[in-house]
Formats: sequence, C-alpha cells, structure tokens
Amino acid sequence: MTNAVTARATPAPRYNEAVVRKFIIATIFWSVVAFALGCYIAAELCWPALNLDQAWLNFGRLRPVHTSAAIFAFGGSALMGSSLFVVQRTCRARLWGGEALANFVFWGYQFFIVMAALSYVLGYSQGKEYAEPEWHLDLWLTLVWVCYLLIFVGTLLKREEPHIYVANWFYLAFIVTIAMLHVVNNAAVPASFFMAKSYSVYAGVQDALIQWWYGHNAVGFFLTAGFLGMVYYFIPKAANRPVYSYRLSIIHFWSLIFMYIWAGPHHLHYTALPDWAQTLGMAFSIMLWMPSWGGMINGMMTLSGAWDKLRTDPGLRFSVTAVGFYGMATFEGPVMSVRQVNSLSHYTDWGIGHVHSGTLGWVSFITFGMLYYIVPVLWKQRDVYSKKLVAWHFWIGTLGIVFYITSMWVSGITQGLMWRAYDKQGFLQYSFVESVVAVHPFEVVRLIGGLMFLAGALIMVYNLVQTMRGATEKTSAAFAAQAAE
Amino acid sequence: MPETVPETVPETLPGPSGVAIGDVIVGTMMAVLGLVGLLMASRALDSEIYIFGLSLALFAAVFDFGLIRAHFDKKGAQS
Repeated sequence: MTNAVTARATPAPRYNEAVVRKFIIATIFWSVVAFALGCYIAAELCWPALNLDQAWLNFGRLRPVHTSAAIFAFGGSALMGSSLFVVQRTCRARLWGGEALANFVFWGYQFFIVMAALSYVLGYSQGKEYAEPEWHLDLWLTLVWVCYLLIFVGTLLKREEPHIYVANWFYLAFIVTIAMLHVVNNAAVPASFFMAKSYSVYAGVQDALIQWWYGHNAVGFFLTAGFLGMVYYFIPKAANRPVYSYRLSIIHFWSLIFMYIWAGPHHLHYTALPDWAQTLGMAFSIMLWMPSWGGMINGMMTLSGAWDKLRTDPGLRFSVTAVGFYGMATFEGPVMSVRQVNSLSHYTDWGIGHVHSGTLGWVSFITFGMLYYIVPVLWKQRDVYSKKLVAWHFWIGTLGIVFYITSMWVSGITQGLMWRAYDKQGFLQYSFVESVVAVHPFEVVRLIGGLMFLAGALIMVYNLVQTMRGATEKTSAAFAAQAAE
Repeated sequence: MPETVPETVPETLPGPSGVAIGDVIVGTMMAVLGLVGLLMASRALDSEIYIFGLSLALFAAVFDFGLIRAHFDKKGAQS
C-alpha cells in the first residue's frame, strides 16, 4: 500500500510511445491488406479463373498470405503495440532495453512478415498450417520474439507499481507460449545452409500431433490469451469502470492456460492418432467452456453501471460485441470438437465460418475497439475524428460477419451431408464436384460479407487517419462552409 | 495528472562515447546479421535464400544508418 502511494506520488516516466505508434500504424495498414486478400481469394473460390493462370495468384499460395497477414501481421502488430502500451502504463515504467531494441522488434517483425509473404507467393512453404515459413524465417522470428520477450519482462521487472496487472499476465502467457510453440513445431533440419528446403524432425502421426498442438494453441495463446489482455485493459479504461471481478480474472487466466494446451488433438479425430489422445483433446475442449465463459461474463459485466456508454461510445460497442463473439466462438468450438459433430463439420466450410466468427467478430472487433481508444491517446487528441463513422463501421462490419458466418454454416452442413450420403448399393450419392456446385451461392454470399467487412475497415482507416492529423468534424464542417462561401 | 519527466532525461545509459549501450549492442548485432545475409546470398542454391540474404543485408544497413542518424539528431537537439 505504501509502495503504491509512493509510486503515485512520483512523476510518471516518459513512456516509449513512438514504437507503439509504429505498431498501431502497421496494424491499420495490415488490416486492409489482410481483408482485401481474403476477399480476393474468396472471389477465386467463386470464380477460379480469377487466378489468371499465374502460379503466384493461385489460391494455394495466396491463402497462407491471407492467414499470415490477418493473424501475424494485423493481429500480431495489434498485440505487440497494445502490450507495449499497457505494460508501460500499468507498471509506470519506460520500456526496458532502450529505443534501438524496441525499434529492432518493430522493424524486425515487419521484415519477417514481408519476407514470409514473399516466400509463399514464390512457392516456398513447410506445408504446416499457420507455420508455413521455412527454417531461415523461423530463426529470424525467434530472434525478434526473444527480444520482444526481453523488453516485456524487463519492463515488468523494473516496474514502479507493486502489483502486476492481470492484462500483463495474459500478454506474458501469449509471448512465452508462442515462443515455445514456434520453436518446438518448427524444429527442422535444413537441406543446406544455402537452401530454403528443410525436413521436420518429426514424422507421421507425431508430426501431425505436434502441428495441431501448435495450431490449436496458436488460436489459444495468440488469438485468445493476447487479445484477452486487451479486454482487461481497454474495456475498463473505455468504460471508466474497474474489472467486474478481479478474482474471476485470475481464475480465468490460470484455468484457460492450463486447459488450452491439451485441446489440440481434437483437430485429428478419425486419424491415425490413438483414440485416447483424440478423446483427451475433446474432453479438454469441452472443459474450456468454463474459463472461456467466465472471461466473457467478466468482460461484459465490467460495463455494470455504464451500459449507457454503449449509446455514446461506438468504440466501446466494438469491444463489448467482440466479447459476445468470443463467447459465441468458444461455445461453437467445443461443440465442433465432439467426435460425432466433427464427423460432419471437419474439412467443410463450417470450420471456415467458425474461424471467421472468431477472427472477424472477436479478434478484429476487439482490435478496432482498442484502436478507437488508443489512437486519440497516442496522437494527443480529445476523441476520434467522427463517432458517426465509427457507428457506420460497426454496423457494416457486424452485418458483414453475419453474412459470412451464416453462409458458411449452410455451406458447411450442405457439404458434410453430401459427402456422407450413400445410395442403396452403398456407393457415394454425390461426386465431389456436385458439392462444389451446390455451395457456389453461399460462397458468393460469403464474398459479399467479406467485402462489407473490408468496406468497414476502409471507413476506419479514413477516420483514424483524420484523427491522427488532428482534424475534427467541427473543423471539417467549418472548412466546408468556408469553401461553399 | 502526474507531471511527466522533462524531455532531456536520457532514455538508456550512455556509454563512454555518449552512445547508448543498447544502441551499440543492437547495432553490432544487426551488422553481423547483415554479413550473414550477404554470405547466404553469395552461396544461395535457390531464389528464396538469395532474396532473403540480400534483403537481410539491406535491412541491416538501413537499420544501422537509422541508428546513426537518430544518434546525431539527438546530439544536435541537445546542443
């Protein structure tokens, strides 16, 4: 208590906001790239001729560019920027390691993203989902990530506040676990130091298990734990309310961390993986309902006594809707992990719909909420340029998600039912191409949903750029009136 | 609102020459990595390593020039 009082009596240090601003600009830039690429490959699925017979425009090469741009470029930049912002302010300490190290982490990470995207379009890939980069890029990312970890932990260690705020626990779990997952899953022997080709040290079903231990925990620790760090800082700040239950946030943290790491085998139902391992993954996935919903309730209830702010603060609306989507996606995920449901849903568009209710509804919306809060703070503005445009962004984006996930549900269940249908003689009732033709209309609806989401993001870019430039709606209106005269 | 520390407070500990130690460590690391990039590009057996090696060398050079520029900018602002 005495320490806390002493800490508050001393002046706040000069935070390193320059690197945070760079990450925020990168987040905004990569959001448009990721969403636009998603729309392009969605259009290729409707009209395959759009690959223009160019190898580098092929769906197989552009799809990892889209997923990496969305997860690692857009999501990663948002997480790194916001974590460096939060850790400084909640610890009352400037970033450890100096400006050069922070700049290395920023530019080194952007270099990784550009090099990885370039390698995919050139046709180089390990063939592991969400871990496509070859060994040299993996080593580079490891170096950057270790520097990021050093900065974060160093800042925690030199903190002026006696307590480590819960958001930092989530961010730290994200950083440490992603380092572990990345190193273990990418263990490979290069064919030569001067050649991109490498061979995984794992083989067969062990390789598959390690890959999906990585893949599912990339969702659990990159796309969940890190963004929960955002929830626990930015929702209370925007609502100007304390976290509903700090004790629940601690239980949420430890139970989520303990359970998520076991859930990966649910991606390998009906494979050569032993049945007991598949069941273990399924059981832990169902148990994950509890911490996930505990966290969702904690995020939602933080608005107790401040629900009216949803009317006046459209940025906060994004954050709260994101928590709602988090609850929905973490309900759907365990359902899909049940072996019998998985026999219908696996390999179909249902999985794509599920992933996008998470990435668009949860990850993107919580990031948009963070951006609408953090940009005015970092660029020393009173508020965002236009709240009306924020509201437009919100409704167009939400409607886009609805189009996206409902079309993918229908498409996925159609595919699943057609693939498992047998005739009286025991032959498959439909050829694969018949299922492709059947889902075409839903693919078009999905594209429309994606385009709406992209349109919302473009509105956000305009709004945030105007905010950074210091424009206000009033001055714009005054300028327009002056111009009219 | 707490007062903020004046802008003149040094961000990292300066070494004997007035250059921050963190800048020296990161700058040296980047120089070494740039050389590794050149080595990779010079012996590359495929286009990916060739492009990566050259890009790494270029990235390292630009980064180190940036560090040098930032150092003299800061020195100029102080004098």
